[in-house]
Amino acid sequence: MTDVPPRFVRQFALTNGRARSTGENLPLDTIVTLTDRGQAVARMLVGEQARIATLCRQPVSIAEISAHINVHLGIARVLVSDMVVDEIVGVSTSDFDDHGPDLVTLERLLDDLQAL
Amino acid sequence: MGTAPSAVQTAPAAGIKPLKIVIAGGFAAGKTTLVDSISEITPLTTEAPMTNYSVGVDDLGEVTSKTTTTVAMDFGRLTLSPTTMLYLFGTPGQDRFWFMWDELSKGAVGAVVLVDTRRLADCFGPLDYFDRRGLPYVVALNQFGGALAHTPDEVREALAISPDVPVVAIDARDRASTKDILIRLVRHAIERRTVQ
Repeated sequence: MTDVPPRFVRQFALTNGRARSTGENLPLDTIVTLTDRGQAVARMLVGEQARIATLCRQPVSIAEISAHINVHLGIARVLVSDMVVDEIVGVSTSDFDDHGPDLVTLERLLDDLQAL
Repeated sequence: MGTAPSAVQTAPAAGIKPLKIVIAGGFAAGKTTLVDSISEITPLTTEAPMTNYSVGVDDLGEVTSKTTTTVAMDFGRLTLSPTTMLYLFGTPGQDRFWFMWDELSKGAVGAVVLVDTRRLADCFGPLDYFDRRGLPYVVALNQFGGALAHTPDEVREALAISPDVPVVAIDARDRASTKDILIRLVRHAIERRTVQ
């Protein structure tokens, strides 16, 4: 895994009238799923949004989105944030602090791994 | 490598909490191999921009084209229950991308430091980093299908690894071995949590 050569960020415009998300720093493991509204409007989406909508019919992370639609994480975060504002997708994050997951979560994870 | 439980398809995003484990180690230590041995998806590669995380916006509110250098990470996924998705993120190839290690480590369960026993010096950086950060980790000696150049005890001594940190021989290609090292990491994380 070595760093890749410089690549172009595709240009896209954000409309003035629409409330623009501030690109909240969604973690790369943020889970993204299509909302009911998203399912209803999916066929009207185009470009990256259409591809993201297809991907998140099942829960996927922002990292997976970036990999599948071939944009870097910064772009993926902005795209997803905008779709959250439009209520096309919902997101879920874990907000563990610097101590990491709590004991209950860890115990449950242990059980789940042992059951694999 | 098997499909996610069907219950996951209907779980709302709000119910799913992602968990992550960092897979660290030198360039050819076998990180992607380890991830691949257990991931339910073929390992993917994501790239993080090296400037900063926000995309440049000019006065007109347009995102401008620019060239961006990126750092790449391989990762995999395990859906463990309808509400638990575990991600295994490999660290970037070179140690110097510490900003990315910070993001990967934040809120993580812990790390597996994968060691090629022929190249012990490669793990000085990762071990230092996790010690300073206080992230629970285990040390996994990758056998590469053959004998280890050094035993776990020798490695522990050579790298001054604290007695409470598991140092274990593994085969990164083997799913059962990978499952075992992840379990050891979680157990270690629980022990660390319990004494806090």
